[in-house]
Amino acid sequence: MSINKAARAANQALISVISFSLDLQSGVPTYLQLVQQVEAALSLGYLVEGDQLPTVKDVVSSVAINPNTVLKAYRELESRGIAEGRPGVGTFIIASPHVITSDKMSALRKSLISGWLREAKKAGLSQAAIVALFNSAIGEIASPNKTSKNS
Amino acid sequence: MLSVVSSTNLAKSYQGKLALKDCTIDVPVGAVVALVGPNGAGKTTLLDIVAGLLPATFGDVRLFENVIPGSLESLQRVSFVAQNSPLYQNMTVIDAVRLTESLNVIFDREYALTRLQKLQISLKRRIGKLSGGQQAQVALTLAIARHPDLLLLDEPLSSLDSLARQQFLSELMTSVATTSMSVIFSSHSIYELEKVCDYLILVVGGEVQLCDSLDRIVESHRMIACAPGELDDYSDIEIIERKLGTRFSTHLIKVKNLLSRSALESHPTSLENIVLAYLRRAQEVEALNASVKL
Amino acid sequence: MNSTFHADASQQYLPQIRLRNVVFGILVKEKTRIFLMFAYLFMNSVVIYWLSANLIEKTIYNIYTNPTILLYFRLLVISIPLIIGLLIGVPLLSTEYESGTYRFLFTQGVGRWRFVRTIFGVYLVFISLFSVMTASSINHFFTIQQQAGPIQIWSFGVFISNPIIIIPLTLTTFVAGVFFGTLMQRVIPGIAATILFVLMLALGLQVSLEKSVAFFVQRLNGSQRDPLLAYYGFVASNDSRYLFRFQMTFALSLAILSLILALGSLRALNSGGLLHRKLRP
Repeated sequence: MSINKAARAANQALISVISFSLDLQSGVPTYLQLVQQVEAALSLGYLVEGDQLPTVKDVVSSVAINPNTVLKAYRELESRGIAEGRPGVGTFIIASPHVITSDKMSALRKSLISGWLREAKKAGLSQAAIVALFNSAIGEIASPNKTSKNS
Repeated sequence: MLSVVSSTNLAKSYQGKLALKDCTIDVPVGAVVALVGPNGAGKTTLLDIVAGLLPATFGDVRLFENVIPGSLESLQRVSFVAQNSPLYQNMTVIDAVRLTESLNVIFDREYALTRLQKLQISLKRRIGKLSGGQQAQVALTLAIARHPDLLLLDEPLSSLDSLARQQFLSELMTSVATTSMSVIFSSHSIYELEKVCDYLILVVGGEVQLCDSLDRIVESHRMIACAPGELDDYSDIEIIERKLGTRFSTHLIKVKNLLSRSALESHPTSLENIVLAYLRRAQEVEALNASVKL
Repeated sequence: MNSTFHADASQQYLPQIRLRNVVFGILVKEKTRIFLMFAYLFMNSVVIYWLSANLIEKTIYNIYTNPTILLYFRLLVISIPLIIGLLIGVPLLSTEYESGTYRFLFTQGVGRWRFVRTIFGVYLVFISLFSVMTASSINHFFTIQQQAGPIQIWSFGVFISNPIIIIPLTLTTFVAGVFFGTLMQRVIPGIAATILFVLMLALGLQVSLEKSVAFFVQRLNGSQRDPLLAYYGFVASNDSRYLFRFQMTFALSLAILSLILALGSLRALNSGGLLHRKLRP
């Protein structure tokens, strides 16, 4: 993309290509928001393989968060196979963007409507209740440390 | 785990009042600690004792495993920014830099001057003429320039507007990222602290209610909705707060081991809710004590 | 210094800050006060010079006969020490407590006790310099021979009619000011306590020296009706040398007393834990 190339051509630090913004109210943990933004940037083409992610120091001086949170996010990106930390150098993108084909998209949509949504409607849930249930379930997936054994 | 601050049964009384009682805390090295509590809870007293400004009445406090607060070694390794960043109002910024430099073994003049320049604080200006946010930044810069192992801040954000707050926390977090400094800062609000801190000490009425990492606090507290008597059988559960309802009650509990019983349906709750529950509980206890005295 | 069981070699020796650095810091911090002190000295010198140059009534003996001027000089001898003691001594540490800056000062790496005794020492040097210069500037225009007029029955006047007394008086009030200011941790109560202390000291000295002073006073006023002639008789006599020696002894003992007071009071403040108290929460 043209923006990308111009930035790279101008040898700007990558922080100008990706700068994080946080939503405190969303309920999504901070480190996960960072992960999601990197993934989004990747799928939109703002980040490509070989790009260096901003250093912990750079992130922290623009968004006042705990450095450990950034480290946690970068570790998560590593475990997802998206980035790789090189000691003394930095953290670099190693994966190509995950392209979601339109076929895949429509297949997912179909299974959602005819599957889970249909069952929820049958059970009598209102739209608001469905949204609430969905959000809480997404929250559970997002925080893998929960050990509750709910039904 | 090495601890940067640890205390056992710490108590402080003055002017006949017990400001701190039975405080046992343990803070690991490298933590960014939020010292939270309502006004008058004893946060400033605790920080004063750790900084070596006040002697404890009872109990033990140790810094860096074996250093006594107030000793020369602790003074050289600990920086303290008290409430409202006390600086000499008639002194110029550059004089404050010179003063701090001459009174300390370690002082990074380059860092201080670079930082002040980036913040666009004129060196020739008198400190009294700076805004509250700028004064806080100067105090913080001077404190960090000493390269302390432990940085103590007493309500650093209370007189700052949101932009100044953001800038202050950015500078603080950058220093934490680049050094192995531990930070304890007190605040009477928990907003914004979650993204900056990884450890929490909750003090209410002079007593420590919580002292743990944020992760462990959130993991070890859960909300349960059940009939009032149902929880009595479980010995490893502590009920923090109970909201009675007609058919069932909502409880906030603390579990000693993290695997909850399968019979109970519980779900996690936010840090803010947990802290508020403790605050409400302490308030109730105080009201009870006050009425008993009457 | 207080490390115990982890007796690491590196912990036994803590780097010390060089004295000149601490002194430099103190000079940076106190430059306004010290400047004002010497501005006050300059102002006094100008006034003294103007008075002596313009209002002297020259007679064959080159004396002042204006009692107002005499009173002014005698008051100078009391007021300068008081002003220095109350306005420089008392606020020295008490303003730190009042404004909360002690939380900054006493958490610096130099340590509370070392800083306090260094700033005290620096000021003792400046106060001594100041008081010597003041005494000599008054003396320059107002030597003992030129003191005319009857010496008052108020015996303390005997001692304060020699400007040299300014030196120990200033030192004493300064030391007392620092002590009481730090003890009370507040400026106004510190000033009140210092004034009280100085008055009691003056009273005590007067009472204890009355007998000796009475001797001189009698000699001054006894034989002659005319106070002026009585004075000249006195100046010409041997007694004036005794008086001078008396004044010098008094000055010296007061100076020694104030130094002992200085060392003792600060020590007491530190080891008695008084520097660690906090009157205000």
